[in-house]
Amino acid sequence: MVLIRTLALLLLAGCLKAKPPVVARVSAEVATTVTLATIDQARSDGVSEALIEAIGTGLVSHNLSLLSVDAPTDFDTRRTTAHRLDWLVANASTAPHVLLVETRAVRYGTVSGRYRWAVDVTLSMAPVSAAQPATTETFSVPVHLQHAHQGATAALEAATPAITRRTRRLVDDYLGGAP
Amino acid sequence: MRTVCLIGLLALPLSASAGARMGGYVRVMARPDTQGGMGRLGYWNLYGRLLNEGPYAALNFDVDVLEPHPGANTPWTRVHMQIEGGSVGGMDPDNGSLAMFRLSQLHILAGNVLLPNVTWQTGTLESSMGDLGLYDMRPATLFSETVGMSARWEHQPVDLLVGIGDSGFAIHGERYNPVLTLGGSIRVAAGSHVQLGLGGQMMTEPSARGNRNAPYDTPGVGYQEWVRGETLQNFRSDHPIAADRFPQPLPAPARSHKLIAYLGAGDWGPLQWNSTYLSVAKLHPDPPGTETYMDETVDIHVTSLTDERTVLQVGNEMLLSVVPERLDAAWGVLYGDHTDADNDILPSDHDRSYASTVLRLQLALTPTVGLLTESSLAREWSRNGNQYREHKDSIFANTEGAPDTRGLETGDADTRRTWQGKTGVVFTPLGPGIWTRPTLRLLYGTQWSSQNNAFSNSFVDTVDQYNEFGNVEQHWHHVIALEAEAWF
Repeated sequence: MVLIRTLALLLLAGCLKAKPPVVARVSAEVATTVTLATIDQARSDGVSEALIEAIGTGLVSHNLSLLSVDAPTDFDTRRTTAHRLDWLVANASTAPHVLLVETRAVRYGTVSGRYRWAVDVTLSMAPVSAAQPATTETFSVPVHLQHAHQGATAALEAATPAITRRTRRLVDDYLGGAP
Repeated sequence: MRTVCLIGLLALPLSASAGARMGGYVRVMARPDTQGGMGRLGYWNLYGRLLNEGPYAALNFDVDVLEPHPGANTPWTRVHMQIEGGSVGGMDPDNGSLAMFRLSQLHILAGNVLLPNVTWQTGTLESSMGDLGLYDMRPATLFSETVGMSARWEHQPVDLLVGIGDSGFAIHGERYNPVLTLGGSIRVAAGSHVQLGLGGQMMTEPSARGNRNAPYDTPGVGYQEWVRGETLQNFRSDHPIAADRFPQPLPAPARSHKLIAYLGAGDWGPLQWNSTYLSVAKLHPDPPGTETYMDETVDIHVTSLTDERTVLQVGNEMLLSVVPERLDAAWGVLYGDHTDADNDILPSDHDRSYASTVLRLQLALTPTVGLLTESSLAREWSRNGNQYREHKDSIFANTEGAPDTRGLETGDADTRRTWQGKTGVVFTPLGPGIWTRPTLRLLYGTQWSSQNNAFSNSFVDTVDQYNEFGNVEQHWHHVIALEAEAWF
């Protein structure tokens, strides 16, 4: 009986509801570009579809929708986040907001049988109107992959839950300060 | 103390530099054992690592001395080190003593120097093709004892490694003699679903004239008298005059090698990945030991008595997503065969075979709470006779049912059969998945073994009349564990 009660409590704890997200007053699109760099390559390909889908799902909870904008092959020539945001604003079509997700996956050593990676992320969200400065957040996600052949894309996929969680928080902050 | 200083020194650049990283692994637990054990379900991780391993902590440090600049093709360099050990305060007899920790990895990496896509590594060189996660074993590992320099060329679909160095300190410690090591590996992707890998290393130990730590043989030493520790005693029986010198050692060749293979395949439907590892190794001969008899101490050089030990290991691990995001399975199989052609009389870990299978299932009840269950079956067989005690009075049950005080057997059975079952609740804050970490677990485990008291314990084995604690015979063992594991 005690065991069943304990189990029920544990399950209840697993069902705890998270705080609801900040919702945009008007439904709108967010022009979103995700990039992935590696130790020796500044790439605009190799981004995991799962990450883009997860970001899109997160935006829906804020009454926003994702408009994916693929980075061009020469995107790497824009070295700074500001330059990249400028490009994204210029290519945002009709979307009133832009979201830039810059990631860099780097492999480090092995630890206890896992391949240790770090995925550095810079999130930037800004209005196309430029009436408000970009809201940015920079963080690093530790990732430990099981297999030697798994590369930067797999590392980014493994970091997806952490990135989407931080993206939701960034959108909360962005919308919380929106006029 | 040195470790503390090292960590302290590391903390400075880590907090000051954006190019510094720290990561690691921890395994912590409380496993009160009311059956007289030390908190581990069985003897070793042949029965699955779960509940059979103790506490562990590893800290990884990386400092980008010259940070890589993506796309710039400019040189970069990084210092990597790892401190690890198996003790945590309150969790094991060593109570977190830093003496149990060691600086196991320290190397400097450099890229975009001389050759494109090549990473140079100097220092410790250990390189593995993968891990049998259920067993915490890495059969396809090279250079685990080697320090030196390696070059890794990574260019899809090929990963090529060549290394050279010295394994002398890792193998011989204070009795250092260089063990020259040369090896390499190649891993090739055959499409996006298959990986093939091959590799090998060879080690040779030069014999320098006058170096007492070089490989030698003491002539005329028999295997049995050596393992009994009676070489000097027998010699003095035959040569009672002190002026008769114990035989002088003669140089002997000492070589060893290892071959590894890897086959990985996956990303097909529910099959996430299947890894098969093969390792065939000829072990390096033992260094000399000492014997003392009647105030006389001599070194016994045993290169030729320990140079025919081989180890074959084959392991497979399959990861299945039976119901995506809901039910995961991991199935492992391991076979090992250790042979020692010099020894056909003494039960030994160098003369045995074992086979094991482990199946783990994890069901996600919610995204952060799951149920885990694991079962394992194992059989270990000693090639040179009885090694395992099946009964508390096994001394009366040995070969031919008679006590043999000169016998070399250490038990009453040559086979140990073990079954383990484990189940419990797990918390996975990062979401469902059998290998998602961190995980916090409340587990119950049970073991049946043909061996009596087949777990680390403090029982008194002797059956003499002065044993005031008595003898216990039990083949079942139960453990409850509160534990957590994380890579970070």
